Amino acid sequence: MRLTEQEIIDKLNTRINECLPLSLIEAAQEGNYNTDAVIDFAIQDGPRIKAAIELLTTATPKAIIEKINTLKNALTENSMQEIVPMIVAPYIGNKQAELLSKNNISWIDLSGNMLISIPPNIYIERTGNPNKYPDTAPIKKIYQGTSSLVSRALLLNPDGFSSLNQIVEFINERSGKITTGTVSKVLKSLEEELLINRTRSNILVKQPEQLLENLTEGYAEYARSKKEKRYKYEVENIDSLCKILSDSGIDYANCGFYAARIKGFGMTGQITIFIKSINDIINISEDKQNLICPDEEFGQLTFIESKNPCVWFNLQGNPSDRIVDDLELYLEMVNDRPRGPKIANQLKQVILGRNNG
Amino acid sequence: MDNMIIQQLAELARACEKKDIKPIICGGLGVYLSYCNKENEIQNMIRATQDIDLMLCKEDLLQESKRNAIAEIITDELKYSVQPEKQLHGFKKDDNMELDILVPPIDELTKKNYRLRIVKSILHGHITEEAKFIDEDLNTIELCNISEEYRTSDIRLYTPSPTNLMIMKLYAFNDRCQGKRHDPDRAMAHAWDVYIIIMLSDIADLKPGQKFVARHSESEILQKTKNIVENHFSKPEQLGWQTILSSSNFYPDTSMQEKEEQLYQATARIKRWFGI
Repeated sequence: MRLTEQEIIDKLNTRINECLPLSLIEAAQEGNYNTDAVIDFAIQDGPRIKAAIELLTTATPKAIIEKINTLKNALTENSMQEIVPMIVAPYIGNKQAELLSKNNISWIDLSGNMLISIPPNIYIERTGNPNKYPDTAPIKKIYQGTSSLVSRALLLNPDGFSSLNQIVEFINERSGKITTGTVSKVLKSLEEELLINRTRSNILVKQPEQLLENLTEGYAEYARSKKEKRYKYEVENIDSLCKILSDSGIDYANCGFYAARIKGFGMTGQITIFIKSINDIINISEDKQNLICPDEEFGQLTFIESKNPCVWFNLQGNPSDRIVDDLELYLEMVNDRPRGPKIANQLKQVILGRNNG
Repeated sequence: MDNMIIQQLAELARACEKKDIKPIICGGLGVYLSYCNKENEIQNMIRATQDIDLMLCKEDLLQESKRNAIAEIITDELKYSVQPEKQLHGFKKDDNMELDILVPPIDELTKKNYRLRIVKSILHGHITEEAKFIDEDLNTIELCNISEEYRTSDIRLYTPSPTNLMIMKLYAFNDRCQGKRHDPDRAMAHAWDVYIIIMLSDIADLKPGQKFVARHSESEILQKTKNIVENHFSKPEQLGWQTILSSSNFYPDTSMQEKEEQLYQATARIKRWFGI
């Protein structure tokens, strides 16, 4: 459950000295400064400070910028001599802290972090405490599964989209399956994160590198939690096998270092292929024993059973040579140590090159 | 790999070729030459090594003219000088270029303790009992595929088959993992090479390997090899694999579970290879 503004004030009143080296003297939701609250507190063994507070139930970058503007409008230069502009939230992340710092706004969070800067004599910084209120984090999982297809689409199309529906079409035309509702929710979240620019006629990536980084983190988290089943086979001729898969209408996608090799990014003697169900392969191997047979110890071909929708999105190549797209391969390579990150670096240039014109 | 050692190999191979002698490179360098062109992440784990273990094959050693030729190559042509502590089977030149001469057991020639007299008072070979079948399934190495510097040359040398390489490494591990000759660092290096060989060998290596094992299944060498595998490498928790697991270089960026998965795979492979 997210905290309400009143709950934030209550927690400030009751628990501030438990998590921060501050003692609260008074917190009031009324004051003369046209802000959410005014608090009067003392720094342990230090001076007493009065702060004009803006409260944030969820500190997204966009919300932070709005609150910075509110504080700047509410307080004149003169009033800032007697009162400190400050933001209070359940948790303030690094990026948001950086935004506040750039704008000379002090902040405290209920997770035990703070930065109070009152030039020239007071500067207190305390960071590194984890978020004790994870429910207040911006919507999670937008960088995993079907939701992540929105970010992938935005990176694939640096010219942007004229509408939300165009994004839906773009994804669904490329074997993704996404609804307008999901795209809308994800776009809202990306907007909150200041990662996209959204006008009435254009939806465009504003920070492609950051968006790619967020996708990478989401993928890594997914990769840690997933348990995809792997099956090793010995294969006599991979081209013949791919042709049979294609002719039989079986969904498959070359991936991993093998995909990197096909794209000219590296060499490998191992073959990895995503499939939706191993039963399809079992049927083929029973029919074509000279071409393919199971070999858990020495098989050079690994089938990975995956229902992750991202794998099947925007496949490249012709039907008898299906291959994951650059972005999916980039995400696989980042996480495939020790050799993968080197290839991922090259792919990153290609992906961001498109976005940087 | 250090350029110096490649040059050292090249001059040795050239000289041997002129006299129709097969230079078989064993030890860590043999592992490197056999697997350095494999394209996967384990290839990066091959140990760097600075000395050459030159194995001579029985066919060459049985001919007096070739025995003399080998001695001439090493001591006259390539100017190696004997290392006093190695009693005519260990040589050195330019301070850091070392060459050890190994031989398989040969009944027809004179033996002195663990040494075979190749040329009296000039060149001996360290008898390597487990190399009894070293001539079989030799692997040909073209130096042009190893070093850019030799890309236009046709210099050729040999490495033992994966099975023979593994047998030698398993014996060496067994010799160093306990008892009087216990040496943890060397035991680690040999176990590491066993891991490299079994993980970088593929199905094309397995098939002749299994035939080799079947062919010699009754021999003492294979019996002892299987015992070493059973005692030290047939379960991930056994000493051989645990020696590797304790190394900080073994998949340094991965979790213990992932490391153990690698060892499970290596265990399954080596057991299948030796029919255990």
